[in-house]
Amino acid sequence: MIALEGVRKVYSGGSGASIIAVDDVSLTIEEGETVCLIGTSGSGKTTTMKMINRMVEPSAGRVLVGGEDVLGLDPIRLRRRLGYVIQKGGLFPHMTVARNIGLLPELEGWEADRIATRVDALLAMVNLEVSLRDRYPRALSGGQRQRVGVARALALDPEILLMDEPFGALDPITRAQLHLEFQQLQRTVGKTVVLVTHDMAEAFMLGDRVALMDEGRLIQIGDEADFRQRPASDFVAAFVGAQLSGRA
Amino acid sequence: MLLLMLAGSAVAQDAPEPIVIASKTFTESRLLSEIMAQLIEARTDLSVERRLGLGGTTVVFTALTAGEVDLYAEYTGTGWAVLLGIEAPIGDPLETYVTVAQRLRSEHGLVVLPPFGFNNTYAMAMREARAEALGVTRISQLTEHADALSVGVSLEFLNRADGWPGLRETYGLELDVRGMEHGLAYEAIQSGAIDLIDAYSTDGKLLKYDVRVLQDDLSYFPPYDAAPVVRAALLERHPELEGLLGELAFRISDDHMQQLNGAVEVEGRSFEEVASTFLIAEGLIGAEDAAEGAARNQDSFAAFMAARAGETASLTLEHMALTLVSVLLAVAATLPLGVLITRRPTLRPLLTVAGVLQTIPSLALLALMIPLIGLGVSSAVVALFLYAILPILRNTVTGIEEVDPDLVEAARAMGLTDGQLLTRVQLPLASPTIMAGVRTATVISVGVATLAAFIGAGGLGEPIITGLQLNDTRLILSGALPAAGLAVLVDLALGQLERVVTPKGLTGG
Repeated sequence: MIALEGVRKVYSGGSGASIIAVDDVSLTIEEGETVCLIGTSGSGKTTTMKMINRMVEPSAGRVLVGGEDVLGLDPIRLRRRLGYVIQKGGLFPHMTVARNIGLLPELEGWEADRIATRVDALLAMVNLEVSLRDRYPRALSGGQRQRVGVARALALDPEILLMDEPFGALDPITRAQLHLEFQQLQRTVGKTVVLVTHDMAEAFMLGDRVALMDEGRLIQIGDEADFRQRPASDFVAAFVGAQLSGRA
Repeated sequence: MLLLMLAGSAVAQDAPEPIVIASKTFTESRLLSEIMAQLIEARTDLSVERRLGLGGTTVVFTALTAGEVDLYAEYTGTGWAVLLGIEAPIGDPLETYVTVAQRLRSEHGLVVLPPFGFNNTYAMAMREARAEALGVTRISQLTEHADALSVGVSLEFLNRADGWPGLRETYGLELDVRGMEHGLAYEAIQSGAIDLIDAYSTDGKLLKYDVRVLQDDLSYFPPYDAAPVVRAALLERHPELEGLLGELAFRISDDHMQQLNGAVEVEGRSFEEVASTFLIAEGLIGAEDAAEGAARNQDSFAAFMAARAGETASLTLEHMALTLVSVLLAVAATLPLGVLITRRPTLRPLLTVAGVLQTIPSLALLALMIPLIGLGVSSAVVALFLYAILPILRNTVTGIEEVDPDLVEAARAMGLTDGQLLTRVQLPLASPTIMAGVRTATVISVGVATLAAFIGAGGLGEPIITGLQLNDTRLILSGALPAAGLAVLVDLALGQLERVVTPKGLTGG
């Protein structure tokens, strides 16, 4: 379980001005739940997510993971409990698929046999041929890279998966395919997932709940029906309408 | 040192023992020794082993007293101040000669034969047209034209107690004087920018320029009469040598020596040729003797290189060791520093410091090392090390900073520690760039290391520098060709290594 309690993030800009990136956000994400953070660029959605794994530290408020304040935890240990997936996979180009996926287990001191078994299991889990294990990332397609990125995030079997626009850079067909695979995967592994996106359709499709942010504030949180039938403001209605009309 | 050992072993192996004739590194010393060598070869059955350009005064004199060398030509002023360490000012030339001869005999078992006849001391030289117009032939006359003359002297002369300060005091000269590099001074006097320079009285270059050597009418400059210095033991074994070398006594005037030096330095003729021409003209050897000698010295370039192969190989090894040690030290010191700079932006100015180091001319940097560390290999290693810093440091910083920020972010978010981020992600991805810096540093070092010979660190610069001093193209090439070859080979080898260290995923498949 993840809980954000009155979280703020203020950056001091030049000449005394300060920028409020995240403003008093409170949000609880239940065990096994997928919550999609959505908003325009600069809405604070990515900053909010990065406060969960302490890549960004809150200026005020608390972030709790499993009931513990993240500021009281060793950031390295915390991050290894939280799988992390970024756009285009973020694979290390000088490592093979197997070494990318096996990196954290290796750093955790696993034995080679155990790592190899784990890598093969993860490849199967994300629908990749085991024969790809010795390929380098540049020899993979965009969809394959993203699948490897997900497999890498799952390597240490984390309780929580943080995904930063994971399907953002893919063509529509691959994207749709990966959406389906993500849903299947979630049915098997049942992780707690925080997924940042700017695509409302994706958010509605993948998220148990969707959290809409604007100018650092959490505007509305709910499922698709809530957003369609009970938009919290004209802005929300306009945002949902503009996003969904674009894709017929 | 190596030369000394070679000289020593050559003496031990050859029977009957040849006469070993050495010289210092400059033209006149080498020419005098070549003249003595040819005279002995032509007029006796003895064989001669030449160790020309053996080293500076101390090296040659040490070799002589150790019995590794039998004779060379020395100057009375040098014998007085350097070999005997007499601090009292030098006076009359004859008195100086007698004192030096007596004390070298009693203290070192050396015989100083009668002098060649010229005095290679400091001199003041004036532009001929100017001297003619003002009617100046003696230094004392300069006081009359103090306002009209501009003077450029070498920095050493300007600052030596027995140089400009004493000259000014002795003659009461109040002239506008500035220090300049000696080669430039000749050009400046030629173009008319200055009127008066310091010179060595027998310098062959004086012939090339239209200058008049002024008479030292108050006998300010100490006498530097050249004379053969021979081990007494050699003369006991071969008493005929005393008379033979005595035939050279008072044969060479200042002007004559100047012409002989000029024949080598200005006309570019070989030492062998200038020496034999002199001996024939003086009737000391026959023309057929000279032809025989010339044939012996007419080796082809290939034969010359072949004869030097062993020496070249050991110099190349020295050169490589010098370069390798310096670059390895630079890598060891600079890699961590580069990493530190990427972590602590306040350290960035160090890059600028390294950049400034790089702009110091290599010779100046080597010269700076002498007072700090002294002559020799350690000084050269430190200088080369300083030169190697910038390319490696800059490429380390650039290489690490050019790693895709998304990858760094991903690595941190996955839970890699700073150290793991560095060793697993940043360094492997930066390795081609870092390696390129090491390659640049190494190739630069191979080049700069040729200058290390100036401060006695050996390497392939040794024959180059000696060759330059002696106007011997073959000797220059015997150092320059292997040095250039080494640079190319090193570049190719490190280029190959660069490909090897480039992580596979970055190059293909």
